[in-house]
Amino acid sequence: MACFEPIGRRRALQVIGGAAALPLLPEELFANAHLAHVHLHRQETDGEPAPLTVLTGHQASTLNAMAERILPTMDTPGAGDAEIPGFVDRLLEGWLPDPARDHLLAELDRFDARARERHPDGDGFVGLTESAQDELLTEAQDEALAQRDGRAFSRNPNRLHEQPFFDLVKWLTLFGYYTSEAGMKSELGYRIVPGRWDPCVDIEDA
Amino acid sequence: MVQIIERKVWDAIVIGSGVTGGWAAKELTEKGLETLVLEAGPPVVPERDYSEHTPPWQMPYRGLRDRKRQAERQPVQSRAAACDEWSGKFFVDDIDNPYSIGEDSQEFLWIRARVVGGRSLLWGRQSYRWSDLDFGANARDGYGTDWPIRYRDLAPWYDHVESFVGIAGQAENMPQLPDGQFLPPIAQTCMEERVREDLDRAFGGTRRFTPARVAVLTRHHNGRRACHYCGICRRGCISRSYFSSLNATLPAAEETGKLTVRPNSVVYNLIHDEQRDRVSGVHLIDAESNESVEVHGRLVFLCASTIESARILLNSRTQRFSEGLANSSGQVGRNLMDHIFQVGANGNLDGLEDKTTFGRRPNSCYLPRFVNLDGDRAEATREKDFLRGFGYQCGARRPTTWQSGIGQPGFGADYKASLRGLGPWRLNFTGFGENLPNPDNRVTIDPELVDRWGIPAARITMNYGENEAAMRESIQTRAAEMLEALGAKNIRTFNRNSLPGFAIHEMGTARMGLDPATSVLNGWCQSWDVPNLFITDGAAMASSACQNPSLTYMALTARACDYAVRQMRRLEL
Repeated sequence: MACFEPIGRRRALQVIGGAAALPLLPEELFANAHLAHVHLHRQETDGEPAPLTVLTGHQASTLNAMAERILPTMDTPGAGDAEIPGFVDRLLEGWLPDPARDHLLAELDRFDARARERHPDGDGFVGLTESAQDELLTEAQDEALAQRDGRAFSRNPNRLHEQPFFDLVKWLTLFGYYTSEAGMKSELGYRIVPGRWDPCVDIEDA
Repeated sequence: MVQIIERKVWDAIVIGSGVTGGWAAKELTEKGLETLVLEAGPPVVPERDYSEHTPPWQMPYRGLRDRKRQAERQPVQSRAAACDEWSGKFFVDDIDNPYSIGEDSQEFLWIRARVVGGRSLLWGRQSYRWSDLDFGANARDGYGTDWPIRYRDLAPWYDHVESFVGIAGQAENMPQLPDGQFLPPIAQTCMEERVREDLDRAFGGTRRFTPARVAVLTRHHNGRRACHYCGICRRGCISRSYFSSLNATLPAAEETGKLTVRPNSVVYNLIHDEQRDRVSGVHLIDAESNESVEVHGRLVFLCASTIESARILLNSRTQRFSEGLANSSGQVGRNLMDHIFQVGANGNLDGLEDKTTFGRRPNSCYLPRFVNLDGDRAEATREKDFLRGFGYQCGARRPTTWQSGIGQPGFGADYKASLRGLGPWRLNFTGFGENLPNPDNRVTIDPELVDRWGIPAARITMNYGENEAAMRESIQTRAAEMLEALGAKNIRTFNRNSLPGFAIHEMGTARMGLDPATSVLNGWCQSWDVPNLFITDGAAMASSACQNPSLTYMALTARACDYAVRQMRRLEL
């Protein structure tokens, strides 16, 4: 009968996490299959990040620095640890419509050129102090606000080229961070396999 | 073209491996029949193809989908939410599998999966019995033709399939939504428990907010593991906790040693033996080699899905059946139905700010039909503006704050901190409404268009009518009225006028009936015209009810298999 009882929490976690031996042969098979399955999917993507295909190294560093200031490291990792450049590079390569792609790349260079103008001795945005970076981002944010003129951000791919540069980078940072391993696991407390459903928990325990 | 005629005569051929094909395979093989299952698409290997545990950060576009490829190859399929970056591979290629829309028709979205397991891999898993409110509907108001069966005919078969499938659900003792053989329900959130109590009080128990009944295991069942609440069933389930052909019926059929699955087998038409007045086999195109192949069997179960099954029959023209096989009634392809949805209301509920949930459940809640009931409740529940009814899929949850972060000004540490936490509880009601049978809503064969294998394509003509429009209004009003009774704030009604097909509950193109002159199938899903042909997918339905239909398809399939094998043994097929 035991095998038809609801499995307890500890047991469920064991099963998913460590494939602990179970009394039923089919159950063991599923657990092993489960691990093979996770392993297969990891193999495809683990290891070194894919090389950049569109962004230059410098553009990638600029984006990463912007992302880190938008969602900085606190008690959890910042967006600078969320592989935002790699994600944006994939979008540039195969996802963004041409006008949005051109818009993003041109504005990114323009933004960095402004950083060089203001701080001629430095290496653009990426080399600035945090407060100097924040100053430039605030300026870009103000410009975005004026350009938007009360309109909401549209994530429709065919409208992205109309979005102000700061808003576009902010959206890419938000989406990239909260779908990254660092963002999902540390910031959102996401678990791939929760192992149980609890319909009512105290918010501090979640 | 290469023509291969396979000599072997199978006891049974099942066309399709989705929810009904899988059931036919299991029932027929368990009764000892050597069964061949034909599936148009490729095999699915769970260890390779399931991806429910692949997180966004391991996907190329983090869940934003391979947009350009979808625009090119899946312009229709990609409109379905489930056709995402993970599961899009299970959906058909729209260029290889075209269909056309008839003149004066609304656009119809034909969402399909051509893989072993079919749409059972992707379904919403909601599993509800239909009742005599549904089986008696056509007789009561005159739309469509009367069902040849009633609830008592199907009840033991609901028991039969539920016992195998495993349905998590709560008994409610409501005549319009009969209880079944349930596993423990998936518990409602604390806010939903409150909503249930408040609605019971406000509406005298007539609007019951119950945990959605779903084909997901809440405990180990028939060798399949209990759900681990990862939350995204449609990407597959390596612990086989939700029901699909691939997770449950096909493995059971395989255990008998009587099952052969032939993937990549695109059925062109059925072969009719005029002398014996029986279907003798199936003509298919091998999707990989493009060879034309004939396979033969004593019994054929057509389970290709509502529109595809009609297409196969209409493409099977003979001298006697010049309008398509099994179509002496002229009803094949007609009475196409779906459910209206994408209409309802939502609002915020105060309280329980310190509570949330853990895990990601594979369901939410359901609120069964409460309008136009029958018997002694008929008078009190009668709607003057429309016939039949609707139920709601509903639930209360707390959205994460970051998702609205782009709309909030600022950046930096304070901004990041402001995106933590959860929004207030939001209660949503989405109606699913019955669609009246209408002979003008139909599938025909396009005179020119063919698919990648040269098979004439379906042309679909379908329009929602005044009854559906009136029902949409009521769905919004009734939902808003409940939200008001609950003291909800920021109440919003919505009506996105869902296109026909988009609920992916299409039904009706080879209806069961009492009279061979006006229906395609008898009460056993058996063709009136061709006795060894059974059609047990959504095509068989004489009306659409408002509940999700898959469980009823399963029960009808098991019942038809039992009948067919008994008839076979009596040498009556």
